[in-house]
Formats: sequence, C-alpha cells, structure tokens
Amino acid sequence: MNDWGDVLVTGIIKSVIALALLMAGGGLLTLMERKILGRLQTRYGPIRVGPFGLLQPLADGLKMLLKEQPVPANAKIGVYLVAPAISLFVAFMAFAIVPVGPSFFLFGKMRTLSVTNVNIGMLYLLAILSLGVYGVVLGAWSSANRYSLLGGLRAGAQMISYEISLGLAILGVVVLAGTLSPIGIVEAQKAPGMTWFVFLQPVGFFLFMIGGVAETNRAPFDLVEAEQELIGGYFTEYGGMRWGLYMLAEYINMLTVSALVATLFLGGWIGIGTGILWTVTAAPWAQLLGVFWFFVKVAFFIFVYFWFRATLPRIRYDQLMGFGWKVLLPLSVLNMLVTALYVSLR
Amino acid sequence: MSVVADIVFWIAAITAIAGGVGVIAARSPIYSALSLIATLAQLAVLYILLNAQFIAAAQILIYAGAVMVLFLFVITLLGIEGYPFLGAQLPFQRPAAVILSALLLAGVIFFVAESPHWLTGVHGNFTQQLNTDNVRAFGVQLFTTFFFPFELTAPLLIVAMIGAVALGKRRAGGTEI
Repeated sequence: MNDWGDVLVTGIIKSVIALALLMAGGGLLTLMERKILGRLQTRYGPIRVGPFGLLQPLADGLKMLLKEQPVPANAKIGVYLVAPAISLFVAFMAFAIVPVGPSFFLFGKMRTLSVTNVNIGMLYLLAILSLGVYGVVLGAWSSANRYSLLGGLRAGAQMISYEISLGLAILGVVVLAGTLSPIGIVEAQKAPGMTWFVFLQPVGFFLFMIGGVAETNRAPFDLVEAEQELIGGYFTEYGGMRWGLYMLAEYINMLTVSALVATLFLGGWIGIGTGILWTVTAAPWAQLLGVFWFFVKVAFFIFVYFWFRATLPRIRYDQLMGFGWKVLLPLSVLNMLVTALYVSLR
Repeated sequence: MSVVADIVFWIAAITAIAGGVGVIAARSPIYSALSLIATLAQLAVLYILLNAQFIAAAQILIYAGAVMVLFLFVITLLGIEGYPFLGAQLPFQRPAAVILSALLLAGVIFFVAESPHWLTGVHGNFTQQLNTDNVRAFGVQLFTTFFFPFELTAPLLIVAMIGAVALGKRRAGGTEI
C-alpha cells in the first residue's frame, strides 16, 4: 500500500472509532452527570431504566429522535438546521489531536493513538475551538427569538473572552515543552528533569481549568442558559434531536477539555507502569495501561465538572466579564512572560 | 500525492471563488458574512497545501474565529438582516470602482507574474526549513528578516484603533475630542 492509501485507511479507521467513542461517551456523560448530581444532593439519580439506570441514555436518545421537532415561523430555515451541526462538527474536530495512549509500531510504521498528529497541534486546536462560536450565534440568530439572540450573543462574548486566557495558558505549556504537538508535550513531561506540567505551571493549570469550564458554558459559567433571565438561551427554539445535537456537542466539548487538561498538565497517558516501558517494542499491556491512566485522569476532571455544578452558584454576567478581562487575562499574560523568561534563562 | 493535492486544491479554489461571489451577490448582509467565512476557510486549506500550516491556523483563528464573529455580532445585534442593501451611492461610484478594481487586478497579475518576487522573496533555504520545523522556521524569519515590518504592525494597529474610537466618538456626540 502506498503512503496516501495508508494515510487514508488509518484516518478512516481512527475517525470511525473516535466518532463512536465520543458519541457513546457523550451519552454516558449525561447519565454520569445525573447520577453524580443525585448523590451529591443525597438522592439516587436515574435507577429505573436497566440495571443502575444504565440504559437511561438510550431511552433519552430514543425519546429525542421520536419527538416532534417544530420550526419557529420566522426562522431562517437553512441556517437554523445547519447551526447545531456546526457545533457538533467543531466538537468532533477538536478531539482529533488528543492522544489517548502511547504510540506503537504496527505494519511498518509508528501509529499514534490520536486521530491525527499535525505539527501545529495546539494551534489547530485553538483555531477549531474559536469556530465553536458560530454554531451558537447562528443558531441563536436564525431562531428569530429575542431570548435566543440575547443568549447567543452572551455565549459568544463569553467564549471569545475566555478563549484568550485559555490560549495563553496553553502557550505557557508549549513554551516549556518546546513543541506544539500534543504527543510531544506528553513526552516532554516524561523527559529527565521534567515532571507533570501541573507542578511547573500551576497558574497555567488553574487558568486552563477556569477557561475550559467557561469555554464549554458549564456551571458556574452557564449564564447562557440562565433560566430566570433567558428561558433556555440560544437553543430555546430547538427541540428533539436538534436540541440533542447541541447537548451532545456540549458533553463532547467537556470530554475534550478534560482530555486536554490531562494531556497538557497531568502527563497524558503517563502513569504507574508506563514510565520506562514506553518503547517501540513495548508489550501490549503497557499500551493498555497508558490508555487506562489517560481515562482515569479524564474521568477525574469530568467528575470535577459535575462537582462544580453541584457546588457553585451561577455568577452574574458583569462579574463573568470583569473576571475574564481584569483578572484572568493579566494573570495569563504574566504567567506567559514568567515562563518565557524561565525558559530563556535555563 | 500530487493527485490528491490537486483534487483538494480544485475543491478549495472553486469553493473560495464561489464564496467570494456570494459575498457581493447575497441580498442580506448575514449571508455575505457567511460567504466570506467560507472563503476564508478555503484559503486556509490552500495555505496548508502550500506547506504553510502556521498561516493556515492563524487564518482560521484570527479571521474566521475573531474578526468575522465580530461582524456577525454587529449584524445580528443591529437587526439589519431583513433589509437588503438599497444602494446609497456616492457620486461617480461605479466608474471609480471599475478603475480601482482594474488597478488591483493589474497589481495582482504583476506580482504573480514577476519572479523572483522582490516583495515576498524566498530567503535562504526557507522552503527546506518549512518542511522540517514549520513554526520554528516561521518564527525565526519573523524575528530576524522581517523584524522591522513585524514590529511596525503594532503601532499601525494601535493607530487604527485610536482612529476608530475617535471617529466613532465624534459621530455619536457631535463634538470633537
């Protein structure tokens, strides 16, 4: 098989696997969220559908697919139908560069456990994340509803504001690792004299966590869907599976942000048993161990998301903007400068 | 490899031109903005084909991700999407437009035809560097060969920003600042 054929076939295989895992993961997260929120509020959460309520996401999905999906009378129908798909498309694309485990040797080539390994990895990620605003703003505008429009503009302003500090937090890690590739960043945390970047970039870690929660419009930054002010926010006029697409995009974005926190700050797949075993000829179980540690880290940060939601009250819009521009942005610039100074003096 | 690159090039190029036509042909400003986004995204694809991944990412990040979002904000917030452009024309607008576009086209043809380009010429083994370490090669060029123009854009942007604020204030309040 020539080079392009190889690239095409591996690309298709990886994409199909990643899509299936992300869809299933998004569905499972809804169940996980309700279970954890339930426990944190001393109730059970869903337990009726299937053992431990495990089939609840399937039931929900079926319900959404079979529901009537009304379109508002004045909606701009083309944009209205495309907008949720844009959100979901961006969510899928962003995950493409996340390495879920160590690379391995197969059929005469090094195979990465990410869908693609582009040499501008983190820049690609920032570029894709910056497109997420379109699904929200276009969906809001095309619904021909004031509440939707205000919610959409609010969401857009929030995403743009927090993207800047998010990007600068990533840049601190990139400067320290000396590469833009996520695989390179994970391996840089394994290099001698280095450790997980959460210890070397504690400020960047917190900036990224806060920026990531705000970027995905989750509590306590979920003003987008502040019921008492905006009804449902930008997806007020969406129903059935179209609404489901927005929700799925949100949950996949949470997965992506958690995976990025794990990759950038917590050493990705590095864990007990993978430190020295990662070589070209590593045993298959060492590979699986790497994937295992990665998923443990991701699961932890998903839990943190739900923990936030159960614990913190929603903040006010002016507080959100003030915090983003007057606290997070100067802090992230300072963090960036100090990191650059450290690297240049080292 | 070249076949795949050719296919991608033609798809991107045709979509980019179609988007460009859409910008001026659309009746409603929001569809013009959407067409422009499509064009900018396809330009990014063309940059990747030219092995300029950094520029491609910056193109998406800055133009599609920031500038056009602001356009969309303005268009949706002002609620002008229902009104088509009715054409408030300046005197001699059409002849002036024809002359200026002809000049622009001549300029583009001149710079494309002229080789090697004295404006954007290749410096040293830049192409080879691009193949090995794209962002590093770009950064090194930016901070050595093109350092002065790069720094010059900073005051330029600030001047433009102050100018925009000054113009906006004067029109709103009716007084000079």
